[in-house]
Order: sequence, then structure tokens, then C-alpha cells
Amino acid sequence: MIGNDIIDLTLARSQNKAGNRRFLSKVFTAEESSIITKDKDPELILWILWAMKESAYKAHQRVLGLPRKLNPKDFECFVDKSQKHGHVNIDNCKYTVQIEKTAGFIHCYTIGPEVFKKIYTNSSEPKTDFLKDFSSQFKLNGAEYDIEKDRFGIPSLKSSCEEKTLPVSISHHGNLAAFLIPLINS
Amino acid sequence: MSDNEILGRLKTIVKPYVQRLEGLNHFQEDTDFLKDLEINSANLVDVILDVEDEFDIEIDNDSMEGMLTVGDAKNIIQRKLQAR
Repeated sequence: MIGNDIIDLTLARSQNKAGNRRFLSKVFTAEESSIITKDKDPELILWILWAMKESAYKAHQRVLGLPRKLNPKDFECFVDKSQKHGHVNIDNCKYTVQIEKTAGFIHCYTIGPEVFKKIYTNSSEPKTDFLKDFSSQFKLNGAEYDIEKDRFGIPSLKSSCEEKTLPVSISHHGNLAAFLIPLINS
Repeated sequence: MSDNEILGRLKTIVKPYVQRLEGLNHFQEDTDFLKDLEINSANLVDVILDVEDEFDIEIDNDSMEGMLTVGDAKNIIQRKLQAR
């Protein structure tokens, strides 16, 4: 569990957010807003979605060493019909979340690991492309990244200015190259 | 609008959402909404909506992303006021 968020429903419901169109438009995608307004309990689903975004935000920030940001709308939520699970997409990363509800609270947490993945077709320099995409995707303040292999030939992604190392799996076949990073806190 | 006037109005806006009131005693540009004032992130969105109303500006998502301190907010407000 690397990202979690708890919502006190008594406090949350008292804020009547579901009817606040401006709040919705700052926080939720058009799709999410429409789910909220159509639900029979708009306040509840609104806070489920919020808790999902917060959980994924915490996990994402931690796993990649990202600076803080207020960008809830970038985290795109998908909730199962049961409202017990869901997933959140952000910058080609996917976080699966568990949702627990009682009358009094919502508790949401990421379960994983999930992955960041990129596939390149017909690239002459897939590794360079990947490093460039990785850096620009997460706007990592110009940190230089490189792929290094240990004495067993196992690759990992290393940042030049931080102690951060991320495991990466690489596969080449024909004109294809695939890169996969598990989103765990290493 | 002067820096002081913006900061004064901003202080009034954030007050209802502040959970750590002593943070308001040193309300200055490097005051962090989350760390120093303990405003939760949902309420930070409320702050942004109140700022839009107070200054009659629109804060787009890119600007909102970087609104972590009082100084960030002040700079965004000034930029939006100039662009009006």
C-alpha cells in the first residue's frame, strides 16, 4: 500500500460539493462529472472519485519522486459497478485501487504493483526514445536518466541527481521494443 | 494592485479553511498552504474558486497545478489581472 486516502463522510457530505459545477470542473473530467451528476448518491460517488485520485496521486508522486502538484483532473478514474475496486490512469501509468465504504467513511488505497509502459515500433534508438519520453512525461526537473545493468545484466533506470533507482524491464523483437517499469516504491 | 493588498485579500479568503491557525501569524510569500496552514487539498480547490470570485479572474488548470504557496497564488493572481 503506497497511496491511501480517507474521507470522513459526515464532514464531506456537509460541504455539498456535487451541486457545485465550478468545483466539479476544476477536479473532475467531463466523464467523471457526468457519473457524479447521474448517480443516485452524487456526494458519495464524488468523494469516492476524490479518494481514488488522492490515493493514486500519493503513490505516483512517491514512486517517481515527483514534486507536489495540484492536478486532480489529470488523474482519470474508472470505478467498477460494485464500487469496491477501480483504477486511476495518469501519464501512461495505471493504479488499481481498493475502495472500502462504511456509513461513516470512505477509505481508498492503491494495490499493485502497476506499470508504466511504452512500446516503440521501427525506432532506431528505442532506449533514447524511452529515456526522453520518461523524462518529459514526468517533467522531472531536467534530471538525467540512464539505463544501467548490474553484473547479472539486470537493467534499472537511474537518475543522475537523485538516489532514485527504478527497475525496468526491456524487450526487443523484430521492429518492436517494449519498456516496462513497475510502479513500486523502490 | 499592490502585493500587500493581494496578500491581505488572500489571507481573508484562506482563513476559513486553515487548520493550523498559528500559520496565519506569519502569512507571507513562502507560506505553504498544505504544510504551514494545513489546508486539505479539497479545500485548496475551494480557495482557488474563492480567489476567482474575489479577483474576478479565471485560474486555468495549468496555473492551479502550481499553486502551493501564498507567493505562487500571488504571482498567478497578478499575471491574470494583467492579462485581463
